Amino acid sequence: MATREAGKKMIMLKSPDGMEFEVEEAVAMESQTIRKMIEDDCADTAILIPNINSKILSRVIEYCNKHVPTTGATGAAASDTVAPAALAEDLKIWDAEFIKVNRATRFDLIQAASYLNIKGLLDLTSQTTIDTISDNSLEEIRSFLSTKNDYLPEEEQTIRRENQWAFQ
Amino acid sequence: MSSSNSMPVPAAPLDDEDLLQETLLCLPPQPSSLPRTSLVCPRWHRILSYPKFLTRFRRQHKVPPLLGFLAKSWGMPTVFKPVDPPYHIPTERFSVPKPSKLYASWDLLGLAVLVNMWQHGQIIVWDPLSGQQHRVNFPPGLDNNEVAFWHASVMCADDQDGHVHGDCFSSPFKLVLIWVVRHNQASACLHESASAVWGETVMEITDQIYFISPGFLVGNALCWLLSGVGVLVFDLQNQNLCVVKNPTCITVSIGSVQLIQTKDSRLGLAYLSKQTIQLWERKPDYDGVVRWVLLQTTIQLEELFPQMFMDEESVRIKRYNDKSVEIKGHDDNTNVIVLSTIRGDFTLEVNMMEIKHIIKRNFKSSNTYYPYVNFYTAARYVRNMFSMMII
Repeated sequence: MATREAGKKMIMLKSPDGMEFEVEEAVAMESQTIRKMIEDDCADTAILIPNINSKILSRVIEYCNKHVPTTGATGAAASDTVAPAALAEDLKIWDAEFIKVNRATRFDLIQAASYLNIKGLLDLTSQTTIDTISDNSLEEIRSFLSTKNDYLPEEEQTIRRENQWAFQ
Repeated sequence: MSSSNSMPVPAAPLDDEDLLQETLLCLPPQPSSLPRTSLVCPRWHRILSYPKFLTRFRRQHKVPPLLGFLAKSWGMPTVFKPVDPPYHIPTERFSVPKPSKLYASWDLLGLAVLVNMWQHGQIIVWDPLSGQQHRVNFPPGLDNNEVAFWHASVMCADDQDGHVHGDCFSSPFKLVLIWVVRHNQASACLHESASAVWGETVMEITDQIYFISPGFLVGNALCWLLSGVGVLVFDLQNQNLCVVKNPTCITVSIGSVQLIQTKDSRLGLAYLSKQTIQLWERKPDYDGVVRWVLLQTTIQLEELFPQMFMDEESVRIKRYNDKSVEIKGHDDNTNVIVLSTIRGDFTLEVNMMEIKHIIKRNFKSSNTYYPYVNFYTAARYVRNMFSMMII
């Protein structure tokens, strides 16, 4: 239900497990998927977000809340005295803490960020996954991602041989 | 709103092809990154070989990394010197033309090796990573026998429209040939690959020219440093040629001056004198007239190379020869200056003031270094592997 609270337009997001989250419209519109629905006038009532459970949805809302651009008048983080660079640094530190989650939660966040089309969150979750990949051996990557190695042994050997320098 | 009728059910993470692509775009732009990661499984290999993915990968990272230098020395074969890891590629991955052609000479501007085949009246534009070639005949009316110096420079035709360098050889390019006859007459001509024709040859009479540096692109102008004269500037838009005189207080000699692009994207000069590099910028002065202005930043080489100037031999050389350090090249993308010293050749990252070795030795070389920057995505190995997989 779209309501107004303290001059801000609020909308309701519902998870499939029945939880409801009342959030500022501006925060929800960090998601391009939701923004489009609101702009197309399809969001008069609560919006059901399928396949994103309440635990993940609450984390996504937490992210959007932190990243929504502040107008300077009422937002807690809005202050004319804070330099943009300091604000960006603050967000970076906050993001690093935010993404310290287990593998399953991170994958759920990637999926949610992609589905709700939140570029910043998709970049953050993807980059963190890639950083994990870069720091590990092939076997560890496969195990981390639950990916099956379906190369034939001779195929793998050929690629290794042709690009030996890249594996040193 | 009926929310339940507009939301499709998403696939599991990283099983979803689009999502996996988005994630893989975050791989670092280091040359070993894609071949290593493609060994996870054939599906990843296939994605990492898609031309569309590679284009997005380059766009994501925007600035191509410095992979190495083409080192050119009088009377010696030109060789590729890769940078150290993590941006290292093996020398054999960089294909350069064989030095067997008697009258062939080479030039390099960013993405291509240019081979000037005097005996065939042709320039070859050569992609050193893929080995692809384009051959362009000389402009009409150019008499090979009169030419004292030449340089050719190649640029992407759509460079101004958010273009990211990488697999540029499938796109139209511009080629500028400059040549000097009788040591005082410079001519330039622009070739556009899309129309396959040369433009009009423009000419400028100058003071005596004893050497000419490789071309350097600043905004929409190609610039060459001329010995003792100044900077020759070719406007790509209007196809005009003119000479900008050097600052009066600098003396140009081999190894003392390097053209640069300043932070404000203007033409600049790095001038080395008495172990100090001064930076000059061509910009409107207080009265609105464009002239050379000395920037406040200077680079004190004695602070960066303390050991270089303290040992006995260096002191002796310094006493008799002020040119114990020379500038031998510059990369605009990474703002790296190449310096040659009696202890070897170095790169100096101007922003970080960081020194790295290219070659260690105990004498000063006559090498000139041409920086090579690119993403290692246009390379043959990716395509070969992809072909192998789909056979």
